[in-house]
Amino acid sequence: MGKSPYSDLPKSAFWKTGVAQESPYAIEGIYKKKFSISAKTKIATAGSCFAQHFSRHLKKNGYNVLDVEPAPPGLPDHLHQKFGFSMYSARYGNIYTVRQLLQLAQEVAGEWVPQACIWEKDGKYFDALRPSVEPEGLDSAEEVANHRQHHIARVKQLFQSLDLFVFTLGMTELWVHKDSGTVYPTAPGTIAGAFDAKVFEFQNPQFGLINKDLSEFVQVLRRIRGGKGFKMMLTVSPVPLVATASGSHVLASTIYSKSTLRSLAGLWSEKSFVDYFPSFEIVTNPRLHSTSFCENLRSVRDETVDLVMQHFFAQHTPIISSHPSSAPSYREDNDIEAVQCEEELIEAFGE
Amino acid sequence: MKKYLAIGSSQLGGFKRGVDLFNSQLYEDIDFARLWETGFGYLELNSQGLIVAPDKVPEQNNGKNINLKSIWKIHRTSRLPCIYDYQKIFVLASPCKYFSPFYYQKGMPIPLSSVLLKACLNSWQVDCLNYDAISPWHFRISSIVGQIVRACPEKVVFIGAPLPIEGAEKNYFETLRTVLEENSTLKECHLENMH
Repeated sequence: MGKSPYSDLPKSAFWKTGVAQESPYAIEGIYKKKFSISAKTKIATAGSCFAQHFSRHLKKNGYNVLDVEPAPPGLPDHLHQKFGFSMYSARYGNIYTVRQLLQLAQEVAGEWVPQACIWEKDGKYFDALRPSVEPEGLDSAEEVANHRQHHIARVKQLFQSLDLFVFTLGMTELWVHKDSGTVYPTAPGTIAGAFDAKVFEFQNPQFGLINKDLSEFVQVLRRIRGGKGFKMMLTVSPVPLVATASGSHVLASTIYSKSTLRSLAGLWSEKSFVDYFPSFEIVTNPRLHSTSFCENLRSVRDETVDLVMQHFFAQHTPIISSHPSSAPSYREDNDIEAVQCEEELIEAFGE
Repeated sequence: MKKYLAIGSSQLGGFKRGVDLFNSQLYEDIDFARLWETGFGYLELNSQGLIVAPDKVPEQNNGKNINLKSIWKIHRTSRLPCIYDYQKIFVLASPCKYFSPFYYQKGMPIPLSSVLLKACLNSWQVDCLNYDAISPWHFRISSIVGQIVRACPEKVVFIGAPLPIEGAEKNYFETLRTVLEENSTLKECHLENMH
């Protein structure tokens, strides 16, 4: 038999030995770091809900995760998340889409001003671009504008000082203000505001547009930084969509969203300054038979998050050792480490 | 019986003197009750509305081994203060709205929503890891303050004076002052919070 190009490949190249017979708890060769992250590397985190886990574990393991909007010392730990603190490097809440990220950067750079971004509900006012950080709203539209101005100043500081930007791609579907193109993290009417089909519209941009958004984001970020280089780590959230407004089945829409974003991350990881970490693959590995998820088949179990991070820290050694995690011992769903996910509020509109 | 009650620890002395200088009639209308920092943390509100101290000799900051119960009373009387006897109760103890370390990390003022302020005030906690050489005792975040606020919120008036706090001047306030002097946006944000 002639020599096949597959004959010298490692076991990780074959489904049988790389997946079916491989321990899902230590998948050899699933991730090889492209660059090192030192104790001094200033890391900024952002993205969809799953990114909160990533951020938390990086901090826990001694990495220098920036926080430009830290919680008031008087606020109890269990309320941090409620007010959008300690989730990411700034109080921007979840950034589900690349367009959201791009618009945030453009706003920080002073190149773009969001429109229709203050929503009212029951006499309270919300920042529509991060409605969950003040869950009970503010007393006036002016106060929302003041808070946003402060937030944007802090994000500017973050963007200027970071060395590594860790971003978790969440989904492709988004809700847009028709006239201005302003993108929201939640559909109008979910947390505040009211849906009006004449004012807002649903969009599900294709690969090319999302790729363009990410390119523009990188360019804007470079401008904010005065040309100073940075590194980027992309991940794809394994958390399925709560609901889709695309008209397709939610399963098909989820796979479409995740596939598009995975392709995008793959394309970008060919660049020298971008690394891709396969949290999506580790969680959705068929070898785990869906046990990665809680009963709702959506929330990722803490044990799975630990598993994901073990693969990460196998390449990026923890700066300080965190509590050793023992063999998986699945806890009840209500014990999982909570993440803030505005998207879940949509579920209230389903049966 | 007087119209007002003022309770607190080290801040109370300055307040007492200030009121006397400013308005001697007002001074006559106030009952003052003071306990030093460590002791203040042990005060409790009982079911009759009396603010009481336990029969306890705290080890911390108590070089003379003073029993709290024996010394806690309204100044120059032998009575315990009862919250129902007064129109207003001045709390000369933090947390108060002006007490920056409760709300800001070092040198980082943030805009505070009313809901966030309430969440902080309701917590009565301070993460002392954020500060060098400051313990919760310095903040005088005491259960009695929370109890009084819950029992008669309409009566409580916080009067805060953040200084002096051991170790905080250089480590916290000077940093904050520098930041505010250099950054007009943050200064405005801080002043807005103080309104």
